[in-house]
Amino acid sequence: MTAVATPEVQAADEEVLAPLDEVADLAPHSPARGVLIALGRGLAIAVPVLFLTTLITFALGAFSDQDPAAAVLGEVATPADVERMRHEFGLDRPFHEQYGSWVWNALHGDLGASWFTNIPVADSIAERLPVSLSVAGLALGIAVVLGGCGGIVAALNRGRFVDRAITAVAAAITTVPAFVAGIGLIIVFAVLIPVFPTGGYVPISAGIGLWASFLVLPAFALGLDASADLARQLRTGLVSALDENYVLGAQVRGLPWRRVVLVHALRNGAAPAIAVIGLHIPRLVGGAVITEAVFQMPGLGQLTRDAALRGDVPVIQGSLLVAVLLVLVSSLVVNVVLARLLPASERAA
Amino acid sequence: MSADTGTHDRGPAAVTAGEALVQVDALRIEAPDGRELVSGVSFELARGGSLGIVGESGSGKTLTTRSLLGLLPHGISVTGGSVVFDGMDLRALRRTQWEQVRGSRIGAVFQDPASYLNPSIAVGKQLTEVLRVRGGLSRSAARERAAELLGSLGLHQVDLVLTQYPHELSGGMLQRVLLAIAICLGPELLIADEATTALDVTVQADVLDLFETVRVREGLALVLVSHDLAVVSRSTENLLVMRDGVVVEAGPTAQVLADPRHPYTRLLVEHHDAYSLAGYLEKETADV
Ligand SMILES: Nc1ncnc2c1ncn2[C@@H]1O[C@H](COP(=O)(O)OP(=O)(O)O)[C@@H](O)[C@H]1O
Ligand SMILES: [Mg+2]
Repeated sequence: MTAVATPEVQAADEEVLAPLDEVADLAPHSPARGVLIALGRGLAIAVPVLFLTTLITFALGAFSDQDPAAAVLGEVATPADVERMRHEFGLDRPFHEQYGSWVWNALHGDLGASWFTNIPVADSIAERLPVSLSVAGLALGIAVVLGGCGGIVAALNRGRFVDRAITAVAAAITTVPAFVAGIGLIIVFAVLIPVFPTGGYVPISAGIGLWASFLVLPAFALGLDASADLARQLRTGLVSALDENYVLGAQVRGLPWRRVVLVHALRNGAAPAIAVIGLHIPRLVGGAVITEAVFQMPGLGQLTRDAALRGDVPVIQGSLLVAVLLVLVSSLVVNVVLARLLPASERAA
Repeated sequence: MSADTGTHDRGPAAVTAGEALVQVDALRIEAPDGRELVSGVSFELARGGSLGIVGESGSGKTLTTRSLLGLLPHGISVTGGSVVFDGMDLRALRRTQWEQVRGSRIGAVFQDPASYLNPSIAVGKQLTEVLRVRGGLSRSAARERAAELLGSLGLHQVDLVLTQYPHELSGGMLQRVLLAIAICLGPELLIADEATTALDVTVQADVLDLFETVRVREGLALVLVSHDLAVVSRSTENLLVMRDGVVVEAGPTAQVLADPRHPYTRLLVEHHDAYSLAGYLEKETADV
């Protein structure tokens, strides 16, 4: 005997058959569709955000007293000099024209040049960006590995000593600001136990080991807070996922425990933690400014800070644009990942 | 206490010693606060045999069968007695050993099948996952086997069903999918704990028929758990009546139903005669 239910029996079984017809069209629930929606939403937000932020930074530059002639030539500038300079930089044109040509040039990769050094802003950024991306990227990596492991280990040992220890340490860490953590790390691992340099930076071309040794402390200082937050969110999400029947169901099938946790529970329990990463990315980008100051690293943060102190408007505008782009792109990635992870039942909306 | 609380044991008729697949003896299960939830339950089940466990909600049926899976709720533990499966002491198993037993030797289905499937993963993938990870099949072989299995359990359009998510399927379909997952590694024992409880009567009857067919076809032993006497009386050879963590009556199902000795069993039988599925089922039998 091979067939169990005869077609007649099943035809009578309306509850079994009805939904089949309704769901013949799979598209509304497919993961790819969710990802496309997330991408579309992300872009729909990113474009106006970019427009507004560039407009605002541009306006701040244009309407501040900053003036290349006054800034560069100083007190000795004659009115004629100032006028010539303003014309040279196009500052005598109407605002919308200036903004329009800035946007147009930016779209072509030209962010203007520093008022002081005449170095193209795009070049300065290209030089500094690897530093900031190294620190922020490594900090993110540390957060994911440290926070991920901490959260999983705590969740699997719910209520036991390990869980309480991890939770307590994570709670303590989130109260420490990045610059305090940075100074603390310098004192301990660069001064008391001098295993890492106190600050500075060498490019990766100087050797991966050397490059990494300069990054470890700043990346830790920057990533600790995110690790702690991630560990706490992951623990909470995973603990509630582990209580679900589908975890029991996966165990009943004899699937290895590691697979039950990493495939079945984590898939549904990780969403809040990933959302937390999304929230932390702007903080990592922003925090890099402070961390770069503490560790004296020639990154984007230092470039922006120096430009702000000198009133070098094109540089400020260019680096803010890049910072905003970084945040927008990374939150887009996070949202796409979240859309991919969302339970199918919640995807339809 | 009166004789009412003692077990009316007629001895499991079909089982002869040494032949039993499952031997549970004086099983005790305790809550973390020391409350005894199951107090000395014993039963045997022969290879390919069927056992019904009936009793009101909270009588310890689920905990008893969970001890056969080594999956008691957090904090609850077996504190006494023995649980032997095919000569193997299940109480002594470690986690990796349990993983070899669950699925491939003992399968289980439960009430609310949707909740036992991962909501984010298509049902076909959850079935082929077991076939690949535990059964060692290749991706394509697993897919083929999955489709074949679902087809044999009376599902239509299996290729479509395989790509669907749990929330897209009806209760009856989900229970078939769960049954397919439970038997895909060819276990010797299937536990069905209130597996038909949430289904409506027609579907319930179909799924019960399916259990019986699968049991005969695959030669597996069945433990059918329900608070509803009609469900267990329909397709089991032996019956266990539980109340407050103890077995109040045990014996061949027909005999227990025809001549209930314990007042609680009598109550169940009267209730069963008055309100149950029986009327519907008799009518269905008459139609065939
Ligand atoms: N996780 C738990 N914590 C504490 N008590 C529980 C838990 N699960 C079940 N129980 C108790 O154990 C007893 C038996 O439960 P159960 O085996 O689920 O009964 P049944 O399946 O017959 O309805 C009930 O009194 C119930 O309250
Ligand atoms: Mg139960």
